[in-house]
Amino acid sequence: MNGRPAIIWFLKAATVCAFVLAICWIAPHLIADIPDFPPITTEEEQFDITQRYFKLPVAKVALTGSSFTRRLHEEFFQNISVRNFSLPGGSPLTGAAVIEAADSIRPRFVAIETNMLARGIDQAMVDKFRMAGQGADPPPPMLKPFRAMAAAYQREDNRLKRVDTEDQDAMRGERTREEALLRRPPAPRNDAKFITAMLAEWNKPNDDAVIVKNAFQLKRLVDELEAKGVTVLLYELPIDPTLQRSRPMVRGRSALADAFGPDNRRWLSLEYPAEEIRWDDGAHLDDRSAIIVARSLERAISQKIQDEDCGACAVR
Amino acid sequence: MVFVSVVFAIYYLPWVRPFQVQTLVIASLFFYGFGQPQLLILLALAVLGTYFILIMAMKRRVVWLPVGIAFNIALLAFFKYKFLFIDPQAPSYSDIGAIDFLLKLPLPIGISFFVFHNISLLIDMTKRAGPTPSLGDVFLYIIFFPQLVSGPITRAENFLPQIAPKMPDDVPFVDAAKWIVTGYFFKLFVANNLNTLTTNMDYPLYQNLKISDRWLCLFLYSYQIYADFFGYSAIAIGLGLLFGYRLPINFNLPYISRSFSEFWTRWHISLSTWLRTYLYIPLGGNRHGHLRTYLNLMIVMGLGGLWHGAGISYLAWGLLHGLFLVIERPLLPAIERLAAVPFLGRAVTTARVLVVFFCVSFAWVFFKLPSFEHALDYLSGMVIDQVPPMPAHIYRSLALVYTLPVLIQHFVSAGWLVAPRLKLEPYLYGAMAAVMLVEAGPDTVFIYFQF
Repeated sequence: MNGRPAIIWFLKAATVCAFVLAICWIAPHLIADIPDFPPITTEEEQFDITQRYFKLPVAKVALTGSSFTRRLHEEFFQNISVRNFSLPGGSPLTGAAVIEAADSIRPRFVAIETNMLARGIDQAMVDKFRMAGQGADPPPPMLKPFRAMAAAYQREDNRLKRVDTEDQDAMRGERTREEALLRRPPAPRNDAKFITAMLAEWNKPNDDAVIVKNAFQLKRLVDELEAKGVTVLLYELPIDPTLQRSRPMVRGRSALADAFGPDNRRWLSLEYPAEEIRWDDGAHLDDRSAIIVARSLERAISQKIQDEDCGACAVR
Repeated sequence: MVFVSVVFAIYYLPWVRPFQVQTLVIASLFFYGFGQPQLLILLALAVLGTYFILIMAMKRRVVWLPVGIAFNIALLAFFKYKFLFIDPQAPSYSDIGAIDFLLKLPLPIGISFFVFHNISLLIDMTKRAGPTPSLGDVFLYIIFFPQLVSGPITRAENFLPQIAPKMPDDVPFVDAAKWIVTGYFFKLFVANNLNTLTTNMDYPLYQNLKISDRWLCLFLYSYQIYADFFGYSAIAIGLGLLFGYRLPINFNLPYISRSFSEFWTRWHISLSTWLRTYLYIPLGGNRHGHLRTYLNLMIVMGLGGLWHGAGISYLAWGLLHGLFLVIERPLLPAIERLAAVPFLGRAVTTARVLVVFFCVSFAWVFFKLPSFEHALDYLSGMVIDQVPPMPAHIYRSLALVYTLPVLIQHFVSAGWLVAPRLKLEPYLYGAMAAVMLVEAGPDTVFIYFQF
């Protein structure tokens, strides 16, 4: 087929192509909440989490961390409004740096996880959302029609789909679920051979220099946040006792001690029944343990908030 | 596509017409050398060396043909298998600069393909009487950029006669567009998206797969590798048409094969044809009794596996296929008779297709997990239930969406609704082009680029 019939063929194909592309571009501007699956790549997931953080109202407390903190879902916090801005596969420093860079989404308190210091700031993410903090929202992605249809069909819970903490009925249901989970006994402990293998994996890379650098960078970030009126708190999540002795954990603690010195005021002391805590893989808390640790973190943060409020009252 | 557009525009300029072959050769060299210019020297040496041997072999085939084959096999063996003997991370291998340079060179992209082209050239051109093709024609045959990196493997006797001045009026634009759109659709929408699911098969992620998900991922990988490779071949065919060359079809609905021998007439057809023509038949084929036939099949398939990569996994993959062929061979006549029985025919055919698909998918594990230990570990997890600490979530609905094009292509009859399909064809291709743009999965390199 050549000549005129070919031109007509191409015109028809191009028209349909352009039409479908136009629909896919327009649809997200007209339809809110197009169904989608949880992001698949780490970058997509981090982008989604950050975008969500910018879209929702600013909470009193923001948690920044890695996939360890990701387990502490917002609905586990009963008494204070918390936004979980931890980035799986990312660094606690990135979340803190995004908050520092964007005026519009700065909470009163930022609690930073210190378990993962081997990863540094993702500057590209910070720069991307620096503008978003000034009102320049990134455009919505184009509609993916087949993916949206599959997501609409999918009946299982999106694992990023959080309980709407403004919805009282949903929260009551969530409380009931949490209490039921807490009434169950702790899960069996992880297989010792598995943990030993994990310890070997964790000890393999020599990230000492990176960890030290990131600890001092964290100190600088903390200083910058505090200069802008944010109260910064630090916490370490529990992990399997064997992994506590791993190289990155030991190095991280000593690097933080060097960076922050003897000043303990920022550190949150988490109190929980250690014998009840379990992990899916020695490092990531299982659901039941995440509820326990989240509540302990909430108590510690609440105490800090109270102390600060009392300090302010005393000044007045 | 910018590169192709520029070359296309130059290629059909009237004053370039006498130099079309040279234009394509220069474009192909640029294409190959972009990013890895140090490999251009190797490519040029391989082609020039082969051409020199070709000239000598045209005069004394008996002496120079084996030299030419050995030269090319040595080239392939050196680059493909050197890291079995030296540490790839070592900072230096030798005090002699040239040797150190050679040992440090990465695996040249497409070496498996252009070496096979060289061998085909030597054998085809020297077995017939006739003039030696020109250096330009030989260069074009071997390094023609649409097929340079991952085939299809074109036989010299099929490609060289096509070398002639090309006119733009003769370009089958619609056919070329259909091949290119189909290829990109299968690569971007099907293969790249399936990769986001089958990435769970990689080590150590597969340890988080439940038994049912391991099976699912295995079949998804079958579809992925088909879509990826078929996609590349379709793009190559379409690009070839734009420049006036018809490259061979490389896939013909392989997953409807009713036997393993049929599978190898439908999967990577150019490779299986090459192996049959230049290896299986010269070894004796099936002309020397059953045992020798089985041995020949095992040798050919084993070498076919090793052609893909230096590792036990690739050898295991090849030998497995050899074993499938060997086991099936004496049973085929009885199976064919059973399939001819009136009430059993359809059920037998369905069972045959499923068995072949299952066995082929099983063998793909050795491709996906080149570490033999990991491949065995994965396979063991498909029968022994292990409770993963953090089970991965494989969405069945997504798996269905991304495998549907492969299933439709294989199982919707070519004779079904022909007239309406012809009428709707441009609209369907337009829609495919749009969908592949908006729903393209995360970028991944073509699987066969690694070979």
